Amino acid sequence: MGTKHLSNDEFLTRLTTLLSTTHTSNHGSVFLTQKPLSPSSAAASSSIPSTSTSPPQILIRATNGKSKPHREKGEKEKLSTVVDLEGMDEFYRRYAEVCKKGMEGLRKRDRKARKRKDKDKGKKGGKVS
Amino acid sequence: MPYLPNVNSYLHQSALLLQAYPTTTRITTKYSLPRKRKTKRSVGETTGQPDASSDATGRRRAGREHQTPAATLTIKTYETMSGICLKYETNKSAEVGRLMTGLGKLAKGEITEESSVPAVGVETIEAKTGQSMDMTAMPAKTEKVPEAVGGGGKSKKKKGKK
Repeated sequence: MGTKHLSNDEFLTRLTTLLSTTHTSNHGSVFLTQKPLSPSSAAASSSIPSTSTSPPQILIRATNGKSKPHREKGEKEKLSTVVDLEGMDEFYRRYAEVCKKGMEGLRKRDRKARKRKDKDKGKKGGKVS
Repeated sequence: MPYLPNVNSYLHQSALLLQAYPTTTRITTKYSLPRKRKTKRSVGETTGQPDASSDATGRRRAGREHQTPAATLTIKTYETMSGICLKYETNKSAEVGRLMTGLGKLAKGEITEESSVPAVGVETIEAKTGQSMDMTAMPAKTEKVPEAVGGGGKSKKKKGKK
């Protein structure tokens, strides 16, 4: 694969646009994959080399999963980035933010049910301390 | 591998899988928007031939069903060597944040506990409300109540602080 990894910032902005374009087209999917990035992934399969349980880097990919005909039209989107262990907290915080905003098609929390619940609680007088 | 019942058990099982196979496990999240029905039906309604009115109401109802957002978020942990696959599917936007932070933890190799301990106090209250909801809500809905306990506890605490 000739594509280079994006920086974390660029990846997130591109992911935002990817999610929003998927939404405007009213149909489609977005695939997000994360896997540990080991420098010798071929060698890793034969024996587990690292003593550390936490992998140093994580590879994150995002794609809209378009097939070949779309690829020729340039509709296929493929993004990837590598996250270091140091930047992981920060990245995942923003990543979660992007996903929360981007995935609008999911069901919102049922406000009515919650209000009803709150009312019930008020009647019982049982407040969460 | 079947779908796991809730976020916590998914995260916990995935953490165990990642711990066992740290290098060959990958997590895929699929956000999929189903194709929406064309709005031809609503156009038909507005042109409204009077003799088809009864039919139109039926159509309108069907249209409403399709209007509800039915996007799904499927999250899958797959270990390439053994072929173990753990899945969780949701359509609730409230769970996205929890899943993503869970993914962050998984990426760092932290273990997520199956049951969230601080939610115990809340759980009893939730259970009570669940009972009271029994009268109004459908049984399927009450089933979901304990499922939301983990995150529900958190959000409630936040509310209290504000």
